[in-house]
Amino acid sequence: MALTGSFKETPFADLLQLYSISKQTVAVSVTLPGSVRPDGVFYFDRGDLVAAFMSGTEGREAVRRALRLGDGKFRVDPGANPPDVSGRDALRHVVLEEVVKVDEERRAGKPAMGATATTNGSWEAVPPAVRAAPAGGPSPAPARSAAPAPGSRPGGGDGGGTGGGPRPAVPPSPPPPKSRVGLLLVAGLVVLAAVGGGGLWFASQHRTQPAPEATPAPASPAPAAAAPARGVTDSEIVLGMVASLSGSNKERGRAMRAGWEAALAAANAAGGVNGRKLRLVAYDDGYDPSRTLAAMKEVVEGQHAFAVVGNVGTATAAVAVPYCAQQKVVFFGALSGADLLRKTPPDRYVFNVRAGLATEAAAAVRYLVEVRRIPAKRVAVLAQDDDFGASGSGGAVRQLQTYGVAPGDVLRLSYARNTADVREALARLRERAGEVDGVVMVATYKPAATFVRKARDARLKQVFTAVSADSSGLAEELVQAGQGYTEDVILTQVVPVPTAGASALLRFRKTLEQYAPGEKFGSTQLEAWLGAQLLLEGLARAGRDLDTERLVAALEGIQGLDIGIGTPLTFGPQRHQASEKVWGWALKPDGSWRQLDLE
Amino acid sequence: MTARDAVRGALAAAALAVAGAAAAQGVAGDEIVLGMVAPFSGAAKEMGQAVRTGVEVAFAAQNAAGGVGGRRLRLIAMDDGYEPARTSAAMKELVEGKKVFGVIGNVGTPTAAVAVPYANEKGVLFFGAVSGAPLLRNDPPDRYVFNYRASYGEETAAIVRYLVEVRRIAPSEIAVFAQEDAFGDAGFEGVARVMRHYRRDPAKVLRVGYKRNTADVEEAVQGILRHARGLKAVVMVATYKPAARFVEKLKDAGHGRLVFSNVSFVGSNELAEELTQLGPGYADGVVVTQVVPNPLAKASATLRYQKELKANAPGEKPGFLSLEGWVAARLLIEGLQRAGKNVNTEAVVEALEGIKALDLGLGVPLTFAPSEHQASHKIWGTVMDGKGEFRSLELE
Repeated sequence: MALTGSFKETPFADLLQLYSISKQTVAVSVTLPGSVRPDGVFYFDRGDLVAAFMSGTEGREAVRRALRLGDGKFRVDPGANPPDVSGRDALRHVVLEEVVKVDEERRAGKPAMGATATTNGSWEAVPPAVRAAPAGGPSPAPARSAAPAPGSRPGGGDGGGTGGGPRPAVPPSPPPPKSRVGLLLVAGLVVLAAVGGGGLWFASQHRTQPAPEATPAPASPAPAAAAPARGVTDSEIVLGMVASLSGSNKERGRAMRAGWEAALAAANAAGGVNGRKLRLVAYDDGYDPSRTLAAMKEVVEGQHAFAVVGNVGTATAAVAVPYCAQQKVVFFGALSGADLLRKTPPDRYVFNVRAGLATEAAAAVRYLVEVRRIPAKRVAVLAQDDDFGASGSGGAVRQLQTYGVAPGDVLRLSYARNTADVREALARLRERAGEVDGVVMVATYKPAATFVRKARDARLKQVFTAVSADSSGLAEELVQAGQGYTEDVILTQVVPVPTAGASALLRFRKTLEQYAPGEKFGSTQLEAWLGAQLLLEGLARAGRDLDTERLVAALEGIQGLDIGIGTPLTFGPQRHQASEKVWGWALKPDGSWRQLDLE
Repeated sequence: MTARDAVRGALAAAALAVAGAAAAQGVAGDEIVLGMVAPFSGAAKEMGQAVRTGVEVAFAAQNAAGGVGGRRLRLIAMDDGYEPARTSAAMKELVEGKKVFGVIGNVGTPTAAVAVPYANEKGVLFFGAVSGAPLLRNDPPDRYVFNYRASYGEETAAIVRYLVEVRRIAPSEIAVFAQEDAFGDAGFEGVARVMRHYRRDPAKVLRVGYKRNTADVEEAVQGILRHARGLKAVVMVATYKPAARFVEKLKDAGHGRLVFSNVSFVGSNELAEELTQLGPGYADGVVVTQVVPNPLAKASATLRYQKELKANAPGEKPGFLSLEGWVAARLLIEGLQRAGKNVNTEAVVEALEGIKALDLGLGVPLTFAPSEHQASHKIWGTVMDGKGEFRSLELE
């Protein structure tokens, strides 16, 4: 039975929250006043908004319009399948941002007060303190579509290779305490008594903050005015980093910091940038998104970092990126290939160095189909069940689509983040083994290695590819497993092998030898070093009169910069990702990697 | 500090010391010494001689015009007989014994497999080798390895496209005759790539071969004869002696209708000579892809080459390999000139990487960059007539 209602009673934001929390798969059609046919339709897949269409617009603009509807009817059809779910992550993020914007717009009218949506669709004022520090007071659970899983935990690094050894899985830490959720049941429709759409997100994060007063109101002009001076003195530029410096993923954070520090030390030794030395302050979030915001605030507001560089992880970036957007702080060169850092058009303050996961996974698909001659319909995808996995599988599925395979026909296997429990995925692969010749894995090294090992044990002969997972961890696991496990295991990487003889790599290794003696020449260190070269170039071009806007403009002016990494590096107003290049590596029986032509 | 750290530190210091020494090595007040390791004996000796002629002619002409920054260019060439086992000693003798500034015009892929890691380790310029193999074309490119010529992959891709698009031969009717080593593999890989493009499984492509430094092609010929009914063309990735023998035997066996094509490394002029000696008809129609234009062409670059050859190596006939050596030398001279008075390896690497769209009049602008160490990607097609004369062949 289809559910119907009016936006006069139930704002669109409430529908978003309802279906997020109840994790339903529905289609919400929207009919504007005076229309006889629906003007828009929004597809939810297990609670996530996965497709949005409204009055001839789609995606972000459709969401934006729907959130501003004060009138009109909606109709909910359960179980409706979305046309294509490849844009899932982009939309998940769009929802968050647009909800925040609406929230800010509402409050802009009443600057002294926050605002909250009520069940009748109007907005009423609440004191800002309630928004900022709800820990003791009533607060809704964060909507799933608008927040990373509250229990997101450290471990199983995603998004980049590293030279680090195997990292044992740790038992998950307890999720942060949840506030009570106020729910009302109205005419069969659960509607949240929400603390203002976007307020939800920040409120849920801010509860860990000791001093809520310190949070500037997002709409206040103060941070923008203060930005030019922050972190920049006559003699110094302070850069911040929030990374996993503890916990099971600490090797990756440590490698990232080591790479940046060595690169900055080398730059300082050469006189710094425009007369200023560079200093990095690194804070630990343990790869735990619930700790990221506090660390980001300490770096940006406490330590007055001019820009945030080299953060680690996708789930943590989901927290850090909106914060940087709000604070107008450049978020540079994070170790994550996820879509949420790669929007179209790009976020003004977010700059990436490396190719995205989607690009990597697409390259893996092309390799399997073009080079290995595997029919596209015989390519399956194994992905971690979060943003990291979805970003990669989205790229793989879109590439398969270009070969004529409908997204719905792709065999998609998954496993839970922070586990190596691939039993169900393997069982499904075994069932369909006769129809699959290649598997694109968007997984961290441990589950990836486990999956390959178990598949070989089950005498499955598929070719496996893994996106920039930890190369040495993967190699070690498979070599230790015994003979024959390394065959047909391909890795895609976003940097070349750090030990090759190219100009950039020679400079990288020399810098590390000089300023971080004993440090491994790993791909994470290389990614950090490469990011530092780009940022230094941007800072140099921005000139002595440095502020964030000038840095953004200078970075966007970097076109075709060739430092010998194998590809020219280019930013632009429409392009905030310097490299699109993906390198291929094939595993040798001795556990070393050889370069592999992906084309 | 662990023992391992100590060793690492010592190695790093040694590496820096070597790099420091390399800055001045081979460069004196009045000359710059370069080395070359190539076959001057054995089955491929004509190739080494031809490349050396090209390089020496360019050096001589430059010296006659005052050298580079007042320094004369001198080449020391050493023989490895196209045997990788001998390459290492020859390279060592040049770099550590003769203290050359860099090497230019080395010949061969299996030999480069030895020489390139050594040059990288020593930080010595490895310039303009006569090999189109991937091991000289790492991605990103090795800092000290610079190529003039297009790759074997580009050559074989061009020839397969020509056979399919222009000659209307089906991909399934093309076989490969390739040397059984890194050279043959590199060429075959280029064929495989285009075959995939034509939806032909490379594993199904008939590949026959022979051993390096032999002309024993009997088995390969038999392999072709067994499938001759379904074949219309053979892409050869071979040196001139086995290539000539292969063509000879198949034509003798009545398969003159086959289209034979070879990559540039065959030694075109040497192949022509071998085939024409056998009598009329053997050379006729044999296609060779080239990485330089016809040496007899009236282009600015080739006219200059012909003039310098006549002046400095009277009696030597213009040829493809000597032209290739000459072009490589011209490119290196350009880099040396741009590096200015202070000639050291790092300065020359950066000067070379600054060469953008240099037009020598070859028909292709030459560009280097930090991520691009191959100056030309152009392939020229040539075909022999019955007398072994080359005329140009439109590949597209």
